[in-house]
Amino acid sequence: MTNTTATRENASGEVLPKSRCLHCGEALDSSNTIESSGKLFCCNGCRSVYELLGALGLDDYYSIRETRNILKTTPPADPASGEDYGYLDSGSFTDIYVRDEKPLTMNFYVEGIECAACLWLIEKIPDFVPEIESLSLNMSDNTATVNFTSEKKFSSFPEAIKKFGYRAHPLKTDEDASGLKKRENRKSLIRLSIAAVCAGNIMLLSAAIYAGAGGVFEEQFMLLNLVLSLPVITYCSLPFYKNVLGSIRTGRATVDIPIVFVIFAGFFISAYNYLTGSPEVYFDSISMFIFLLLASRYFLRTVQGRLSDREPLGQSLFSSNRILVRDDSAKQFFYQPVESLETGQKIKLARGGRFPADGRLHSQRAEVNLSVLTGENIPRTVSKGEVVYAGSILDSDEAVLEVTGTGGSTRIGKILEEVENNYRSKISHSTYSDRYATVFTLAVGVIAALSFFAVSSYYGASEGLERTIAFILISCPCAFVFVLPLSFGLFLKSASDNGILIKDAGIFDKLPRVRNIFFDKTGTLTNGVYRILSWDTDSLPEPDRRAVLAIERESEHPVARAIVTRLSGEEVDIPEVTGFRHLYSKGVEGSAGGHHYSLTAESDLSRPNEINEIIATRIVIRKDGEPVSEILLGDSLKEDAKFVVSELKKRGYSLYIISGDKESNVRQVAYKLEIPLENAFSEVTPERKSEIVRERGRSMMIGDGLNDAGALSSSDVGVAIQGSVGESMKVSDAYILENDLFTILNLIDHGAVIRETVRRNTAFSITYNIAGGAFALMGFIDPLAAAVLMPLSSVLLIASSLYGQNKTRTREGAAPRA
Amino acid sequence: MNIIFLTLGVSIAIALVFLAAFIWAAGKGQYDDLETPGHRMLLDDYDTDKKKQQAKEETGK
Repeated sequence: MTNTTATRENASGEVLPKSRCLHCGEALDSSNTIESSGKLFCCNGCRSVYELLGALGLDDYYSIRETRNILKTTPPADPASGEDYGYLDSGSFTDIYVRDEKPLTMNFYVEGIECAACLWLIEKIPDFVPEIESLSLNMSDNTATVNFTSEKKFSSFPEAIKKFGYRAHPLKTDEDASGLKKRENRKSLIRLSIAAVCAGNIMLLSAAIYAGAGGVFEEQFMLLNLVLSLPVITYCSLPFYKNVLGSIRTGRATVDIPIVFVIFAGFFISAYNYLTGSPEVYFDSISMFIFLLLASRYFLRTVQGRLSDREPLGQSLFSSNRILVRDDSAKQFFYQPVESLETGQKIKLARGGRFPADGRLHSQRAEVNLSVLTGENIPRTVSKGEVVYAGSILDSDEAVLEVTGTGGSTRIGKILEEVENNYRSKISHSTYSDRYATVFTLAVGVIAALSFFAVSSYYGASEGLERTIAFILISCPCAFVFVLPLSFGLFLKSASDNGILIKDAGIFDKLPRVRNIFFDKTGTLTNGVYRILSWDTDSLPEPDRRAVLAIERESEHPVARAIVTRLSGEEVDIPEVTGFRHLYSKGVEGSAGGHHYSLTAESDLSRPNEINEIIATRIVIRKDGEPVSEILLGDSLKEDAKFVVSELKKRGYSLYIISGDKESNVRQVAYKLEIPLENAFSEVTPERKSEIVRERGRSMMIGDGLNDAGALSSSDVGVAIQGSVGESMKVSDAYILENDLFTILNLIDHGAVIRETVRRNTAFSITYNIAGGAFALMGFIDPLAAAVLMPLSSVLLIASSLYGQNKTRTREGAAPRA
Repeated sequence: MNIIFLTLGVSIAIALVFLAAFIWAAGKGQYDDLETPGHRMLLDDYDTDKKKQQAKEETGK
């Protein structure tokens, strides 16, 4: 077993701190160490997982992890918190989740999977959970397919892995797109394989013909080529035909139009020439072209799929699928699927629950966190009869709400609908290759028509037709149309290796145009954690500390909880509290130990503070009316925020902050990051956020919350950062996997390099096509020349793309790490 | 040289057999997840090693 006290070294020779948590590997210092029978942990979560694994005889988990050289993992979520999955067992949910009756199958998205040890551990579950028959985990999209025994105890799986610190989200049968994607994927793989077999054999036979196999061989080989190319131009090319039909219906040019034109022209002319005995036969070029095209598109799609695979990870607003609803006749609350909620119903929520609908508060009073709409984390007090919006989080004990609006009619529902519309119109913009194709097709068509008449008038119609066809074939943007997806794919892959998942290669088209960069504040520029920044507890005599602890224990406000946590360990001889009172939205007061204390928030926030700290609240403690101590609470800037902001400014971008938070907080951030105050928008509603972004134009929005979703979708480039909600991830173009801002610079660098590469490739392909086309019109190009020229140009373009990719690598290497 | 047509037929037949095998495998979903099986294989190994060790210990006693 691991030796925690000795210094360990990992593969890169980096010396790790002396003591680390036995479970997650977190470095331990005096503030976070928990000891249990001589073993050290960082938190109770890690301790309980460790002990559980030991008790189940699964402690091999740690040695497997060690052999993979993984010394640090995320500490588990507190098993006591989180969802209660009991609802899965009630009948009304089986329709939504069970996808197979025999065997009983349910799919789950599993959060927290990091390495092979997790796989080993989770696949061991059927050994000790009798309700689970078997299960298999897919690490590429983090889903588990679980077969249950006939007892239908579906909650057993999420409950079991919760104990190990993972979280499972059941996947609904209807919204699970991965099944459809899988089938699509299998089909394209099959198409690719057929194209490969046919094209390979055609190339072999053609090589013999080019080498001079004549007579009966040539004739028979040609026939064989014709037969072998049939599946390629039919089954394998179906996706192109479908796209062309779709583009005819929508009236938008796509790059598939010239492709289909070339496939048809090439095949039918070759077939005709074969039958009439002329040597101009292009079966080899065409089938190879289709194979390369399919291969590069398959590659691009695989890389692009990585972001959508992650989407379930962003916790959706409505990720909780059931809600306690009051049944008036039975005078009790029952679980009901959120989808079937109706206005007028009364719903009950526990602390930490998210309201699934708009409504009026039925309980006397509740603390409600509206961060979904405002981005501000401090809860607001709501009294009976006041409106609570869907998406807000309950921050006090149980509350009952009378539903006034559900689903799409809630305020947040309307915002999301708007967001979806924005996003749809954004992705339907034509891509670079489509625009290129339109111009290209037109140009080729015009030149072909002109030259047909020109050549015909000199050499006669048949020679004119022949040369024109050769011209069309040779000037097909072959290399271009498959090298473009290939180089996009390579870049997307290198971006994803750098922690940036990109949904659509179209982002590289828009990145270079960006001039204005908008940042959300909470969770993007700052860490989004509301905590005590400074409080000199030692200056406060012990009896006073205990009195403060006693008073604050009466309150549920996050400020009170932060204070209680800070004073934990002093729970001895706690005086009794009398006359405790909430001074709503100001603070609390009460008497303890013979003195009267009050803790109230003061508006004057001007205090000297650390460079990264953003003071949101100043609490003054008064003892019998005299101030005795002061607590500063707030958020802190991300470590690299300052560096990234100044770097972006150096590159000439205009930077903005748009936040739903209070002006004083936003101003502090703007001041510290040296962003002009007129560019710092505070107390902005989600609706206004997207207006601001749209008004400025040429924009990049970086955010994480649901209140950013609108801005993310209406910006040219929307970037969601780690920890984003599902709705924001869905409408952004890129998702940053690391909790830092530095990666933004990386993304911009990638954009610049790929633009360069694409331009180079376009220039090359245009030159090549003009030259080749001219030769064809002059009658110099025969099938052999075409067969040599086509792969040659492809190789050159691929080399050019790879060269571009290496360039991003070196740039990254040279970039300073803040 | 007519033998070339026989060898050609045989080679295409073999190609078709492999193609059929590939299509079957893809259809069964063997290419859906290229990551997990690689890990799983190594873990099986781990478990058997462990069992062997246990067996050894037991006989040792």
